[in-house]
Amino acid sequence: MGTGKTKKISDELIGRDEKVCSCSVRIAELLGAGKDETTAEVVSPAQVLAALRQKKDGQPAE
Amino acid sequence: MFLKAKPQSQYDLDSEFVARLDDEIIAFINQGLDFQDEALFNRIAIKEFELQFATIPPYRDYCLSKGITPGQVTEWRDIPAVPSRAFKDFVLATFPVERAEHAYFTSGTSDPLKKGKIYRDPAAVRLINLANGLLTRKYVFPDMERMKILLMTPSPKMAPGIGMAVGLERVRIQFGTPDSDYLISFGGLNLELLLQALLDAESSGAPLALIGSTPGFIYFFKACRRDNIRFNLPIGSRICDGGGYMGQFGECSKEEYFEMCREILNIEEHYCVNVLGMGEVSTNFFDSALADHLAGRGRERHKVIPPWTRTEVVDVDSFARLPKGEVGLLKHYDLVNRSLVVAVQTDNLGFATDDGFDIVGRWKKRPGTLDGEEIRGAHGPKLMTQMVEFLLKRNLKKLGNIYGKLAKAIGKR
Repeated sequence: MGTGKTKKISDELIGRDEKVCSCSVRIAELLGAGKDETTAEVVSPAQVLAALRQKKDGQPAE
Repeated sequence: MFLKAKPQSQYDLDSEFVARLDDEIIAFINQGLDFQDEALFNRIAIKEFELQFATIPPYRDYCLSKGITPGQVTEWRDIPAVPSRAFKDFVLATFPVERAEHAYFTSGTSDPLKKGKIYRDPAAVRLINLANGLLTRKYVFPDMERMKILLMTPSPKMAPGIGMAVGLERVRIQFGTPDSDYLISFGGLNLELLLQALLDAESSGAPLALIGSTPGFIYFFKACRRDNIRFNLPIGSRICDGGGYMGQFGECSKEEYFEMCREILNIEEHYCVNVLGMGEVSTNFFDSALADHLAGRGRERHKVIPPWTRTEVVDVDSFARLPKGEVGLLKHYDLVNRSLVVAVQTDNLGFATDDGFDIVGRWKKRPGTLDGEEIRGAHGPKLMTQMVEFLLKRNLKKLGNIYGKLAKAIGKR
């Protein structure tokens, strides 16, 4: 059973797989990987870390 | 009027043939990771080929187009290997897929028409769990019964179509302490959970395991670098990544990745274990680094070929088998692939080493060109990927040997 994209399996399909790792592609999508995005715009560990430390010290997080 | 029951085939999922075959595969795996029996491997592989030829029409057609039928094959090497791309266009399963327990997507493409699936029946799921459980124990947790694991994947409940999520759920259950958790939710990376766990490990001195998607770790490391944040994880902490350094969050070579593990988390290179896992090949291929380090073996890092698998490197044009050290396409034979096809021809570029193999990139065939971006974006060390790109364009293939000598000379390995 096929999707209609290729009628037969042949050696011509070698070298024509599109993605390196489907899992990582999908996970990166969940993390917000996009053409114009960079890590810098997506997460801020410093901010979260500061809030966690404040919480630990009994002070309200900003 | 009533429907006639479909006649039972010798190769049905509930047949004596499949039950015996599964028993033989289980017995083979249970012999452990030091077991080698070429004749037995050969016999089981040929039996699987018989089953797959009989039950998967597109595969049967492929074999017939090559003039190969089960009666003619006497050696596992002669079993036709299906190009990994075929899994996107065909259902390659030895059983009716409505009986599948596992159903993963094979493709990351956004085109739903091109999404293929990998199917495994419940007995095949038991095979993959047994095999990969044994390997995970030996190559990721050889020194720890259980430890806290943070998983750089979504949970399988959130993402049942992601093979890594389903596979790592088994790892969490088998090797994780109860406080182990998933780091990715619908909102993206759960930074609070991750940072709190890192702080807790620092203060408690209890080592931590981070396991999951390579790009996810790179994403986090780069953000930490930017914010000038470092952690001092206890000795024994480890990181196990899979998926390749693919460039979604900027380019990153293998060397840069190890450097970030040390710099950001204080995890030394021999506690970094890369895994080559593919939906199309059930068995995972683990780096030997941690097991070798703990056993006091000073071998070079390589991917281990478990006893129930074989990996060959073949020429990108002729598909002829290449000698050790020469770069070509990785071809895998995996007895755990009973529900799929035993032989898979991948588009991964690698080379055989003394004790296993290594992966250096990705082959992408386009008429008259070579896609450098794909190669840079895969798994390779920095020096190697640049050489692959340069030399393959010129059809020069003594790459592994050249790289080995160069890397030794500059102390990069």
